[in-house]
Amino acid sequence: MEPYVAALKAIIQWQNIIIMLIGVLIGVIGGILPGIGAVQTMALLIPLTWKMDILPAFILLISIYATSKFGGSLTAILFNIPGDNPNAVTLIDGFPMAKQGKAKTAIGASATVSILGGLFSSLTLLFFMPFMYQLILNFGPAESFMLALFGLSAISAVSSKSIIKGIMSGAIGVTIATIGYHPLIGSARFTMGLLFLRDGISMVSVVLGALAMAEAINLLLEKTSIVPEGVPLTGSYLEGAREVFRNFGLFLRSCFIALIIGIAPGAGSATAGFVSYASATKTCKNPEKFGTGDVRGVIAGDTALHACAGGDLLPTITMGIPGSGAMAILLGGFLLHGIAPGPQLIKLHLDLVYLIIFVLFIAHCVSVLLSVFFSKGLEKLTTTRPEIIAPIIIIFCLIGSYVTREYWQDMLITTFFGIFGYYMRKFDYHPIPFVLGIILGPIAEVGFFQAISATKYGALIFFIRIPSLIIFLCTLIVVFWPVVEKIYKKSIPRKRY
Amino acid sequence: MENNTIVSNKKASKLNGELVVVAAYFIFSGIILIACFGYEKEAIAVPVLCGSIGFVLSGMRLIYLLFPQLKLGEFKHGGLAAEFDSLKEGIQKDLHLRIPPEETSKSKSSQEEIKAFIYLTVCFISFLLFGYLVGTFLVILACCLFYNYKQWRVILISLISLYLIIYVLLYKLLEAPAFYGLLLEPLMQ
Repeated sequence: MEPYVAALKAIIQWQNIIIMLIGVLIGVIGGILPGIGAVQTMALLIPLTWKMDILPAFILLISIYATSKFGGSLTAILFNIPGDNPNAVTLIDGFPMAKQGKAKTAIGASATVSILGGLFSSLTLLFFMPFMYQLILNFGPAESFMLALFGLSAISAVSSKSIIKGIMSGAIGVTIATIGYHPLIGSARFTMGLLFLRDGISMVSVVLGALAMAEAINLLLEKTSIVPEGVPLTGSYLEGAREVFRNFGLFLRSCFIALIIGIAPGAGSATAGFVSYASATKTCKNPEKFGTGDVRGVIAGDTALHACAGGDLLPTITMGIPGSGAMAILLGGFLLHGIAPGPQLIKLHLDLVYLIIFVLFIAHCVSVLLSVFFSKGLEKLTTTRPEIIAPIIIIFCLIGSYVTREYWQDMLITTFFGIFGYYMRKFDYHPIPFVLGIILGPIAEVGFFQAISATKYGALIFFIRIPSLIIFLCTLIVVFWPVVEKIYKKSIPRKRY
Repeated sequence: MENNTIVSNKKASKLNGELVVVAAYFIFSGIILIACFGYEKEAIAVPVLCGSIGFVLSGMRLIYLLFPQLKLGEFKHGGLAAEFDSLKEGIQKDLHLRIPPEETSKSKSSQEEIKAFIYLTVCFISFLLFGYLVGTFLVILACCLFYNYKQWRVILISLISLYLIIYVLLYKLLEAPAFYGLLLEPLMQ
């Protein structure tokens, strides 16, 4: 059976349809609830996918990833508070529109670009996947190691305050990942005689602790919840949809901006949204209207948020290089189900790749319908107090860490990494490189060992093979970006004179 | 002048707080490096590499935290994301946008932090002693007690929803492994 047929058949099974609906609902709720975004929601749901088959598990995860941004747009338009950081761009024009009595028009426009942006993301993946497949056929263990190294350094770049702190986070993550049996030799390392450490430190426990539980602690300390300002839900959804088609050129431009920014490591949908918005103000007529409740602002910003998903997923699926926190969690999901992301994923699980592409689009559509129909009810979620949200997150973290391996010690690890993750954030050590270190560490170790043992050149093999060398050079550019930037900036005035 | 003093005091207390975390990282990396001597060569390539990176970088940071005037481990250079952030800020400035800050900058007192950590420990102990089926209720109730939250209607709805999700969906339908905790397990048997 053709892989795309298998993927479509899996999607139309009634159990999977229900899973998708649940995923979409959870994603939208996660987007709406204060303090929670796609990363936390996906991290919390990962343990539940443990006993699921691969395809339903990824239907759930991709549904959450695809839909949380639309949930965040709703709160940005109705309450002037972005559900998640990237949605900050939506409120610039979305909330003024709502105040002018055009809340439904803004939501209609946001919903339409969400569907069309999802379609663009899926088409992007379908278009680029064959090229990437041809490219990665040449990859061996040396490239696997280099890709893991590049993934780690690329995600360290998300630490905007200090790249070195990002590298430190990644290094400690990889070090912790080496606890337990060596993946190839089989000797136990750093276990201190403890039986449960022989299987290593559970990736799920660490992810739940450092990302979700740390956020729960933060919620308890911040004690913020959205207070509705009482903007009436007036206007017309259809009018919003019509506006998108009237400004279709703007929509397409925003899509391509989002695609390029999505692929770049370290730049997420938040950046894509703002760059697209800025481009709209420079290329559209009557730029002075932007920021005062212009629907084109909502179209430009929200299109980029949703169209970014294709560029975000492409390097993650094809090469195992995540460009954002949500992709790092997805990578963890692959590993939890015994799938090595990158070349092996495309070679052996092409049906899963097609499933991700299709679900990405369908989930966008379902989320829009669900949110528009239940917008009144979803509105109430924004007043949920952190005293209720935080313990629920903690409960799911503890249950999730226990059910994956059935060791009570894993709950202790989650609690420990919850506090650890909180302090990491507090002192500007980004937790995502740390989590990625745990996820990519074993892949890097296996790649390193296989590459070295299969050649007479030793470590030189990483620099003799052209693809490996190219990836290594890319890694150097990312790590030494401050130096590269200085050289680049110096070269510009020279050219002028 | 006064503002400058407040800012520098804040920075100093942040650096002091970071000192504990970095010192722990430094010691952890050192222990890993020393422990590597006990294993065969093939098994320690990656831990030695990462342990060394961690040891050197955390050592440099430690020096900076102890002697800030040396600037050795200041690590102030932002990564690629810093470029994108400055691009974003530039756009916001150009467009005169007023956007609420991404993260609320409320200062968190160490007392509040300790309270949150104690609550977290209570949650863990509840799960450890009573398992997740009973522990779930204790965690919610403990939060109400700790943070003086008394919206009983909301609490009741949350408890019923959690019962449905955890007991009916997770335990019965998805057949999650049963765990009654170290205290209840012997009684259940």
